[in-house]
Amino acid sequence: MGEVLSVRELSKTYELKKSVFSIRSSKIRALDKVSLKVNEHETLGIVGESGSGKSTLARCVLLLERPDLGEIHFCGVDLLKLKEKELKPLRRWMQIVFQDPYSSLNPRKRVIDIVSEPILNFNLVDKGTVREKVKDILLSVGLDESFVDKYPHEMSGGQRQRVAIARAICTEPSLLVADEPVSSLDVSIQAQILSLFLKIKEERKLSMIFISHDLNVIRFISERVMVMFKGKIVEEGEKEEIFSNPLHPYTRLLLDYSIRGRGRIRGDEDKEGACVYYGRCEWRGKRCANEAPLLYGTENHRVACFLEGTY
Amino acid sequence: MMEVLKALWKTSLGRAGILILLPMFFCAVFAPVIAFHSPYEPDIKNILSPPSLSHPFGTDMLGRDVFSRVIYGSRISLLVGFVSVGISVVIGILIGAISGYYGGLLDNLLMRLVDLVLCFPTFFLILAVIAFLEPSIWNIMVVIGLTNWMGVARLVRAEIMSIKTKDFVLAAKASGLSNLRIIFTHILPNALSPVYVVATFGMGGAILTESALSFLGIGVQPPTPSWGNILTQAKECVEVAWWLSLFPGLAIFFTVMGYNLIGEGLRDIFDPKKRLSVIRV
Repeated sequence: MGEVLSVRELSKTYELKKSVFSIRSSKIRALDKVSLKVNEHETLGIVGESGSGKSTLARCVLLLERPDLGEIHFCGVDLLKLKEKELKPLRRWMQIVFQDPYSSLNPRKRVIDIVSEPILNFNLVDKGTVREKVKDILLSVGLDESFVDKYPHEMSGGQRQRVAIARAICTEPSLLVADEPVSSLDVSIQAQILSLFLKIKEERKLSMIFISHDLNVIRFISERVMVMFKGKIVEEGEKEEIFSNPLHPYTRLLLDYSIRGRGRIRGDEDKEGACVYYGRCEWRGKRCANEAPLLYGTENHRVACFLEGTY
Repeated sequence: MMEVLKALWKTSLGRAGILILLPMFFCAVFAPVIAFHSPYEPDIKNILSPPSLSHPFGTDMLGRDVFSRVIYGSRISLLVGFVSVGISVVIGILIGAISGYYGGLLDNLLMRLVDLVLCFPTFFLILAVIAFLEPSIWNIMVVIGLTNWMGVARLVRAEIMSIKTKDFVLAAKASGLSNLRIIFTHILPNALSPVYVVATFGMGGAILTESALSFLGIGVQPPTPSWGNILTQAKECVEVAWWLSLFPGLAIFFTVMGYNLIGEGLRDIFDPKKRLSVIRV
């Protein structure tokens, strides 16, 4: 299996100014040396709580936002070395589905305009036949012809999310990034949209990065899993490995939550130079306060924690 | 557009505005048909005659029919409203859009320019400019336009800053669209509703400014009739000929009122918190 995407040590820091006049500004490390790879026809699930940098990762990988440091190799090309102009033709091959289908569709455009825009922009078919093409794509995401001329506000959340998926797959991308695509939907609709993702992934031989805060969703859809906490990867590996043998205390906590619906969360405090999870960790030791653990382990399962004897 | 007009008709303020302005536009367009006297031809026998059947608004000190002059004057006023607001809206949208979309240093520079121009005393700037250029209606429209775009620029900038963070803009970027296309097809159409409101109020303001300039004798030059310069003549004989000042004054009053009412109506329509709202963003 070849690699579609390989990301090396991606970092992104946001500066927050308290007011116009304040000189001091606080920095938020949204991504801290995140490395990942996505193989051909594989779904990488990324899980973490809100604020863990999942969405920033999604945006940086697609260069919708410029990361500060790092490398993004997409099908062998280092995207960060390209100029915006050279990047544009490549955007066809990597698409995104957003969380909120109410803000991801332009309220003034009809479905036909929304879906045909990328198709026409990349000259995939000519203007005369684009309507037919859009109808085909809509059918493949489970929307019939009657939706072609509708406006977003005439549709339900699930239908809108289907349109967003249609827009993302209409250019036949090889990588699809799904940024919490089911989090704002009803539970019954969630299942439908998840199976839709599985279906299009099979049909179109897609590679996916699937982001969610819900471990059950990740378990359902992905082959490999990455757990993020405060902009860092704390554990990654094959799905079965992660779910049957979670090593990092944070992963265990998340699993406890998703299985038993409960777990203990300690107070949160930041400590310079410590492990990112230091503030919350139940088993923290002396070493954890002074040194940040690196990811360590085999290809199948890696964890960033001193407790796991490998150090 | 039709959707907006229909919604406007449903608001009471908007309907009142339309009912006031529609006859005004009608008069301006069909002035030669409606005005049965020439607005220029003096009639020595009927100097300063009070309103009568043949002269509904009376005549001025040269015996010209005031009704015809007011009707022809509406052409000037409505034209001034549209052209000068058109100029200021175009400038305002351009500067606001660039400022809001690109942000950073450029935004800072443009907004300081706005602050700078806002500090000019507009009316005196116009007086100064007209002192150098000849006082013609076109010069006036351009100057009014050039001194009124700042409000629009600020408004557009604020709207764009909030819209550009929406996911559909990111999706457009992911679809490989150029910055210009993103601004013009995705951001601006969603940012313009408040501009319509401000532009409508601006038309009333521009008409008032033009009337004031013409009243001071540096606007539209006689014999071309404008509401402002009819009032100038009226001030010399306001004690004997009340009709000379009343009718152009009413014309100004109702036109500006009409624009303001429509502006209020538009504000109601575009307000997402109100039930009337037709535009969903």
